[in-house]
Amino acid sequence: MALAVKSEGRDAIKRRALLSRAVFLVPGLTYITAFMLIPLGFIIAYTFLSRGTYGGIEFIFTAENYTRALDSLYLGVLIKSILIASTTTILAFLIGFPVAYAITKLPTNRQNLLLVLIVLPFWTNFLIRTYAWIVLLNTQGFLNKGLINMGVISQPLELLYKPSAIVLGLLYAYIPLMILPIYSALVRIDPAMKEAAINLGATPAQAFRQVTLPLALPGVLVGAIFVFVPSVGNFIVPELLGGGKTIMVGNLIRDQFLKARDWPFGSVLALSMVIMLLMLFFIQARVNRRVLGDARA
Amino acid sequence: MSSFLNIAGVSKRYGDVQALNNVSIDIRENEFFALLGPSGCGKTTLLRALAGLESLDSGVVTLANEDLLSVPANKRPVNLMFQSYALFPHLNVYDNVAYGLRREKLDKTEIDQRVHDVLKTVALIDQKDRRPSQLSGGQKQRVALARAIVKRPKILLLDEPLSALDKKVRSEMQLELKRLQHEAGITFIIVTHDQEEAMSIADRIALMDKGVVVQIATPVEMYSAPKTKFVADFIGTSNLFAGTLGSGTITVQGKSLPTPVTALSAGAKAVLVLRPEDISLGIAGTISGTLVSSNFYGGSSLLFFDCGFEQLVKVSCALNQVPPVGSTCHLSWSASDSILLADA
Repeated sequence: MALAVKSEGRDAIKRRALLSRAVFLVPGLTYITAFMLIPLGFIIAYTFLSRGTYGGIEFIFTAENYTRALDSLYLGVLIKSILIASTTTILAFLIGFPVAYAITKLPTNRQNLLLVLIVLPFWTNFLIRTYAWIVLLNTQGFLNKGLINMGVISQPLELLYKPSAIVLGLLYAYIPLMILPIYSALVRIDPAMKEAAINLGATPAQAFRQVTLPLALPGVLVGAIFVFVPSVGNFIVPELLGGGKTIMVGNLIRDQFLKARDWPFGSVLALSMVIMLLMLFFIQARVNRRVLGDARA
Repeated sequence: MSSFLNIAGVSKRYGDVQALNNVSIDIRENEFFALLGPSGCGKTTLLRALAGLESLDSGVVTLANEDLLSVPANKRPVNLMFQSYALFPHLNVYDNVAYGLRREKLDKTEIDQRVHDVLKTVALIDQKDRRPSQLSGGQKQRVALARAIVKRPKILLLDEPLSALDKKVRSEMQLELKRLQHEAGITFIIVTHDQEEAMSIADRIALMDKGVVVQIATPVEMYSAPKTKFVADFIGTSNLFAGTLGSGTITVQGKSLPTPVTALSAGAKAVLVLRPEDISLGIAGTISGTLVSSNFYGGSSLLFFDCGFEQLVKVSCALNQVPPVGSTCHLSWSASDSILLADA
């Protein structure tokens, strides 16, 4: 009897713990369901339907949208987008890693100051910052004028409206998203790790390559995703700095919805991006587990 | 025996803090040596300097008559077991242990042989494919140890190796360390703040305080013949009576206590050190006091008496002879068992 009462009490405690967990999860789950899962469901449904004459959709089943996406014209855009985003990501890593590493070597108050400075550009409107590059890079821009005045060049350089200008714009916009996660990964590495490697006979370069770098890899991957994802789907930078000559998949998707009024095909393109990003997250999770072991075991 | 590791006049300053002040220590080959002291005494700085992870301002260190300080950290025949163990989380047990051997560019079969041997020695051969995150504290500690000794260093440095372990595992590991040191024939230098650990594990101890070596001695010597009040207080449990010397007596807070034979002259400030186990309870005695409390330690108890001094007097007593709390007892000891030290 007494035992039954006791176990009932324990069940009540368990139930209450479950309930409180549910309460905390509800806002997040509601948000994700309402603004992510349901729209994604619409997108998936659209991909199998036909386009309406003036936008929207008609409820006629078709797989044509998918076969059309495999057209070399659209595949080319996708590949070009991936190339531009990959180049941006690699450059962001090559520049961002040394910056993050250098920051960890400073006294803590200096570290915080520099981190604030790195995030500072985000406080300005993205569009304005991108426009600023036009002012800097165009044939009458600051850079060309400066170089001509210094006598380095006689003719202004064509810097704008090509893929390299897009890469530059994306790199400028998203490099903080590479630096911050790498910094936070580096700063969490026990300094004794590197000392242990050196004590065991590694040169400082070997210690860096074999210990510091692998331990920072999870941060590098987070940074890579943070840079790659907004870069590959970006349509503002290619529009402004690419001069519309270099169309990326972001422009294409936007055009399908807003100009061509082909929602089903735009949905296919959007879905292909979502799938690609999910694959990236999957790879990142696997590498993470490889590097850190199963820390919760 | 000749000196193996010779530390001579070593100093190091961090800003306002003199971490090491003219430290000289001779350590013999195959010795189990302990650097003991309270935190901030400089023992870890010295250890890290021996490993080459910290530079010294002045002084000379030679290992087997060769200058050690000019050898880069990664080339020193000295391995350090870190307090945090510093196991590489991205490598499994086997690769952690093999890491140092691979840096020596030994051939694969030899590396494999040595790693297997050492993993057998520390009883971790079944865990060789595990990651550090999947090991218990004691197992991590053994991996760290294996990773250091597999290099066959001339000296193994251990930085507070047992501090992260619980008491029972710790005493097992103390035995294990002693056995390993014996088998491997490596000179061990252990840094610890735990005097009991140093006493039970080391052949000799250097007790440090504020960057200075206070005394270098065997555990027994250090316990029975402390050089200063600091040593007497730090090592073991003791009653310290500070007072002024008379002839054959010391006056402590108005009470006169007998002293052992001493070279100190009458009128000097001195400290009388009395170990709890040297005091016996009886009907007659030098002083008397009231039992305030008793702490039980298994085989014996430590009794605290109020004898009219500022501090309580500690007496160790067999379990079956503990008087009831509140009773008055007479405390007696032989003056020759007590130690008299000059009080600076």
